[in-house]
Amino acid sequence: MPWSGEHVFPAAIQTSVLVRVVAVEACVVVVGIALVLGHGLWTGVAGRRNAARLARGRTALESILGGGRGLNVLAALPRRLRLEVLLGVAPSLAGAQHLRLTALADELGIVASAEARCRSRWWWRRLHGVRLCTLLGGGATAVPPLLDDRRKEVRAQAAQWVAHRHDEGLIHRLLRMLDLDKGTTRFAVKDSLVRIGRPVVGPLAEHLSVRAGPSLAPALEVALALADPALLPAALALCADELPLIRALAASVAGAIGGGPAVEAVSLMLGDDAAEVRAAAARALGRAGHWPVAPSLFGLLSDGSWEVRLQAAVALRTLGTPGMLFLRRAASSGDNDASDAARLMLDLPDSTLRTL
Amino acid sequence: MALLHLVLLRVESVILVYFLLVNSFYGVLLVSAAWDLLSYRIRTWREDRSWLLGSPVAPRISMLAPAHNEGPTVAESVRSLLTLRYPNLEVVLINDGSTDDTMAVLRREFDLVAVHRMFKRSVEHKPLVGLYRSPANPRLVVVDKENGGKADALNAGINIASGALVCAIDADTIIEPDAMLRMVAPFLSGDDVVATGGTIRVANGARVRAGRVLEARVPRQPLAGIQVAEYLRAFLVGRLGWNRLGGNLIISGAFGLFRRDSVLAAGGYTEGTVGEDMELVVRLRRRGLDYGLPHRVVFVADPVAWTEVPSSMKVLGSQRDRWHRGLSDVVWRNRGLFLNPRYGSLGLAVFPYYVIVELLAPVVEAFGLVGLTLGVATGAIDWGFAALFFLVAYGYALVLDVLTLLMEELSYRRYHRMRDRLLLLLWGALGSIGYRQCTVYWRLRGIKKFLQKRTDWGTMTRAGFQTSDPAAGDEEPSG
Repeated sequence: MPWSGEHVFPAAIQTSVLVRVVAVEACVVVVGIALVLGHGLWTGVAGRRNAARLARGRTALESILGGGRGLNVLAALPRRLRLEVLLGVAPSLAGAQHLRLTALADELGIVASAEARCRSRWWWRRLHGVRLCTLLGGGATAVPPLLDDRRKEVRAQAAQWVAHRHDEGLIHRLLRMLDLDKGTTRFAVKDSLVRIGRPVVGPLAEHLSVRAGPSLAPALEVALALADPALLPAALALCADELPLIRALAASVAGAIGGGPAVEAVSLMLGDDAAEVRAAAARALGRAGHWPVAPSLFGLLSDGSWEVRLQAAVALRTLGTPGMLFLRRAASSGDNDASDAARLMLDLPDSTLRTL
Repeated sequence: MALLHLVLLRVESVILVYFLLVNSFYGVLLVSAAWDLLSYRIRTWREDRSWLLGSPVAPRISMLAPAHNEGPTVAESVRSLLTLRYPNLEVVLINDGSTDDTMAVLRREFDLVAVHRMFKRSVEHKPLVGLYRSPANPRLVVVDKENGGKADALNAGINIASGALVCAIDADTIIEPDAMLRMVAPFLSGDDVVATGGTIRVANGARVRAGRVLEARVPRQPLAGIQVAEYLRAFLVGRLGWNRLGGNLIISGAFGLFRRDSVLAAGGYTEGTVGEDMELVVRLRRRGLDYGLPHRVVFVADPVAWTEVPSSMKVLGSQRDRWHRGLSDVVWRNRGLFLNPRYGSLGLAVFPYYVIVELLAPVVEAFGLVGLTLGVATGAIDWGFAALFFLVAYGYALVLDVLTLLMEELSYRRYHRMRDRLLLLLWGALGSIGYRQCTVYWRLRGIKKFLQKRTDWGTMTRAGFQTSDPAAGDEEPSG
């Protein structure tokens, strides 16, 4: 007897079931195709219609930012298009122009709406709210609480918002977040602190002098990017930290700041037990441009660690003529390790040095 | 005859169960992908991507581009890579023993100067012939080495790269200018991420100028067109769907970003396999779980790289057979993962899926087709039922295709012209007729060659980019 499904799957697989399945599939396919084509058609028509409106909106915005009129044109646009016009220029504006954009967004009700979103119970609305505040301004009271939001995406965006503010209280909060947060938030926090710049230095120096342990690493990375002399005492103190990672970063910070005390402390670290510290110290001394250390760096070209040899060679090359003399000497020496490192540095075009 | 009937009925019932399980899982993947896409779109709404461009603390990315006999296109490819939007980028071009004028073109176009070949040999590869830097393009490093294949070239590149992250690409892959800004995001958002992959789209038919895809278009040629629909399904549903179900096992060989220290610690790319990209990802995940190291693999849908797919049956067959050999090899090397609870979702869901669905699918499908034909011919199976069953299977594939296109339409909408949408629907519908059966044959051939321990790459010819490429691979859309 030919099999029609009943023997194996009497309940599930019967011809009538298959017919129904095919019918459902056909319906889904027809609806799907209609949606694909319908959506395509609609976006095409809407795109053409909106293109003219957007062009008018952009012209009006240009006029407003230049001190002219055009608010009524922007106000007449649908909310989505209004946002598109404003957000289109927001990342490229700064200073007075950006303040004018914030005032305009406020006048159009966008800032109030964004701040309301910041207080939403839904995380994605809070994220969108703080993102709008970051781009367009506003959010002075609505955003700071979001630095403690339970969602990391929201915290990261709030940290990005702080980059535009120079508020000491907020800077302290960002520094605390460096200890607690990981991933997105930590990157966003580091990035924001570096972008804030000089106002961070005081709180950061205080942070470095009272904290300890591996969680100091991101704070030292910020210090390295800022390289402000006010950070030197804290960096020098950390040059004696028990963790090699912290010592290495502290040496880099000290080298980036430069000066007599920094060079003196970092020179001592060329004999550190940890290779990563010796390498960082060598690189830092090169960055500090302290040519009297060239003989010590020359000695490191024979170090057992590849990274130390490379960084010593980079440092010698960075020192200019005195360093080059030592590199030439190493290149013709019988020590293969030293010769290799020296020859590579001697061959490198000047323009590539900043990429090392 | 009665015994034959009985055997046929049993085989068909096993295949029916397989069909139901696999297609149910495809449905789960589709829902998971849609959910992940929605979540991603919400998270990236109005995101200012230029923010990262000005970041002083963005991690350095080294783009690793292996090239073998790419003389006509290599200069344009390198220029295209050098203009990618990312604040801290290095381009490492590895000339893998080209016999054409690849090196001469590079020397001439970028004023290369030879530098001493000093680098830390953390992973093994064939000897270097030369190392070059460009005074005019300080971010460019050119490595000239003896031919050793793609894995070997990538290992050389990883040794020489200075970035914390390395991006493995094919020299003739076109990467969208903003792609790296998006691709790097998971690394910034989680310390446990070891690799990220982006979408590969088909460049055939698209408008390309100066190393940039100006407008995506669906090719009129059926073979390339069907592959456009296939790639969309594989990336937008397959890989995206896995993000929430235990992560991916495949990161595109033409476009994948890796944590360099993890790759070095794992020993780099393995030679002697044709599935080196998948092998590396499985090893990284396995090692991460073994030693408590970063092991998460994330697929990000919107960083896009464009590649040219084969437009002849012969080349396509050779490509698919090689992909399946690679998959067989990786599955065999990592058989200890199968249903191993120690590896969590990797051992209990992801790896079994790749074995049961990806690896064995052609075997089951071939048995099913032959059994069904025999059953109908001998009267063991009612032909009406067989036809209906065939229609259900075809209809399900069509449903998946249409829903994938709907996802594409509602999210990225790369194909703007109505004609392209219609063509995509047409190619999606035709993919199950003839084309799918051919891929079953090619994949079976791949399994056979794996059992014969063959590791040759075959020839990959490209019309648009004029590449004859035994080493630099093309991208696999399966999964």
